[in-house]
Amino acid sequence: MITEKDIEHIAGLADIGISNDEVPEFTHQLNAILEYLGILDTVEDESTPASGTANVFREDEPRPSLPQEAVLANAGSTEDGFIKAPRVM
Amino acid sequence: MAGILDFSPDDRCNAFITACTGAAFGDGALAGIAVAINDNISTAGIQTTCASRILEGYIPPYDAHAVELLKQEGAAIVGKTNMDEFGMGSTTGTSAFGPTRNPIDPERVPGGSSGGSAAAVAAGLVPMALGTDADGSIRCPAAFCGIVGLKPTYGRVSRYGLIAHAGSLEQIGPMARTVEDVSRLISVITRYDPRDSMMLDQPYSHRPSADVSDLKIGIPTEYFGEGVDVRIATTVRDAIDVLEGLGAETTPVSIPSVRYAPAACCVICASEVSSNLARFDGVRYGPAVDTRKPWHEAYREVRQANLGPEARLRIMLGTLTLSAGYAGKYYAKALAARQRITRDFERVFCDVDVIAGPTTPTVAFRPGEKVSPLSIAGTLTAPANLAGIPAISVPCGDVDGLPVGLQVMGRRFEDERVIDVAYAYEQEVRS
Amino acid sequence: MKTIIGLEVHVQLATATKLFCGCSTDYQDDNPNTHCCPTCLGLPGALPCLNKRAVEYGLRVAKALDMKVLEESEFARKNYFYPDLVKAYQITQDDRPLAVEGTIEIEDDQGHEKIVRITRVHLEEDPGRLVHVAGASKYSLVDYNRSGIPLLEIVTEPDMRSPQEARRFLNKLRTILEYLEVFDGDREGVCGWMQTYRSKVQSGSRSRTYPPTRASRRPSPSR
Repeated sequence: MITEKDIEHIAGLADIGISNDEVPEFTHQLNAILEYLGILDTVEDESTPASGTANVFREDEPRPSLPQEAVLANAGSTEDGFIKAPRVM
Repeated sequence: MAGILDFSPDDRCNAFITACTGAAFGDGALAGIAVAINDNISTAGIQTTCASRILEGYIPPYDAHAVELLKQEGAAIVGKTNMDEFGMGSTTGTSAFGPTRNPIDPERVPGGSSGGSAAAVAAGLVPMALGTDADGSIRCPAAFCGIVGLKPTYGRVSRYGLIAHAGSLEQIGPMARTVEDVSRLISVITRYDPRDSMMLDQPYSHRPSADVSDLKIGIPTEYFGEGVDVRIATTVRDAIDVLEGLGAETTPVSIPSVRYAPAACCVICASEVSSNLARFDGVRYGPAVDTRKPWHEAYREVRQANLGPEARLRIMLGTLTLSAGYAGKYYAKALAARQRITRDFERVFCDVDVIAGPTTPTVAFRPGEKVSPLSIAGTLTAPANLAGIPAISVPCGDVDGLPVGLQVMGRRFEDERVIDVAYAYEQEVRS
Repeated sequence: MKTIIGLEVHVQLATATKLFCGCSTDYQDDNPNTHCCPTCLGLPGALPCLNKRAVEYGLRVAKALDMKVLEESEFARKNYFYPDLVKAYQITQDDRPLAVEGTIEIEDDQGHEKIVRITRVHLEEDPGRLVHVAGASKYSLVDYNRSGIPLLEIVTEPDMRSPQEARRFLNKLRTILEYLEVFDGDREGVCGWMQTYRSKVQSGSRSRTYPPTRASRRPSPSR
């Protein structure tokens, strides 16, 4: 069982805001999902996880970058060619 | 031949998020054909939102590989179609831009997540569209709206530019009114792209053939049992009889591990979603983050305000299923289930060429009528995504006037064969 | 009190392009955000494609340090939030590195030969660069030219016993990397060579490790 405290913790890890009145509903929904996912308990693990992947490489040859205007075009705010972000200090 | 296509759709179903009234086109295999693009596929210069507020106003500076190829073949990109937010859902009801309605019956859902593309095709607004499919998101709306939709083999179509919510399961695929048009569209978008490291260089160049005389079709018991509407089972069984009439041989098969598919798909999708959707923070694109606030607070604010409840629920679920105490119980088990499903299909495909069954367990329902366990959909469609195999849905009759889809699954990289089987059926019932 | 030093060294590999895209790494004199593409900006839908030369350079270092190259290594996602981290995850071989168990020989403080054991080397991408605006303004400025630059992280065992030994180790390592032509000392400046001391100062039974590594949430596959 996931508690309301767990939900607040997970929301914090995921950096998604949830308001206090959303907590009970999310807790309820997540517990219902986890109950449904209980079916996975009966899956037997097979020992060899075959990834089936192969190496794919790119040659080290430069390709054109985007013009600075295009890099900045979608940003909410910019300054002197930089993109503005919240302060982290 | 090149020019501008005048496009002003009578969009009663809310199929489009963005419509391009004047769409340029050129020469090529799709010269002048109007193609709609699911709104999670990047289009240079055209807003691409994934039906989420968090990408409202985002205009990609680049085209997805599939879109580049469409343009090279002369297609006119006439708009971006509605979907469930980031592809999470099976009703097109979680879109931030309002639900899409089913053109066959506007009181009902079009299916999802690529419901806008299906509705645009079914309503006759465009002849073809690109959808995306991580757990049935092309095939479910194709079945609900009475059109043809193909989820290609994983690795057949470049995902470059596809804003995937679950990149290990998701493929871009064609949706159209006829199998022939689906075949035309897939032949354009399978050209190799080194930017998708999961892609193999196996372009589709095939004209559909209606010859199924030497074909062995497996009928999985799990696809006709509990949870599947009996009338759908009967309709689909009749469609398979049509193929038998054309000389195909059928044999019952069993794929017991598909019972894990919805749960495994749910965990894998949520896990990938929690990582894939973490980048939406309002710094580089999307609604602007408040740069005056401390960063965690600012991120949370922008994500809470602009991600829908379904997206936030799945982000939390995925954060949990990947977290230290739970990853073994959920994520690892889901991967194990995926492997078993893959092997079960491989085993069955030693004996049969294709597997046929219904696409969905019900016909299109009314909004809110079917809140299945937590919008976990894809009981019958998710297995193909987990196994990476091609699967097509082709209309095969109706129940109470609502379309039913016949689903045909094939071996990896045998998209040609599932197209042929769908084509044989379609040609037979049309003639 | 006893000084015990282990090192984590991040080396910028001297490739022409970034680790997962074709953007040029030669940006030192250029304006901010001019060496960026959908991939290194983490734009929705863009995918990574691995630079072959970065892997070759990593292997060159592994062989030179007499390391065991692992049959399979893996890039995975290290998820954490930071404004300079475009995808909110770093693609790194942190979990399954390129190579393990090597050595570098140095002189200890008494002039004797000494072996410093190399734990592992792995490839990872660098984040962008944050400029913290001083004064009254309460925001950061971000330049993503660095985002996606290939780094080779070299981790040692805690085999050094003084800052002088650590300095000799770093000089030796640097010489090796320059001889291998995988590291360009001229590019150093702001970005070529970063070292994090994982030094442990032991006194009695108490030990402390610093600085703390950046918070990471959990690994998940990179595809």
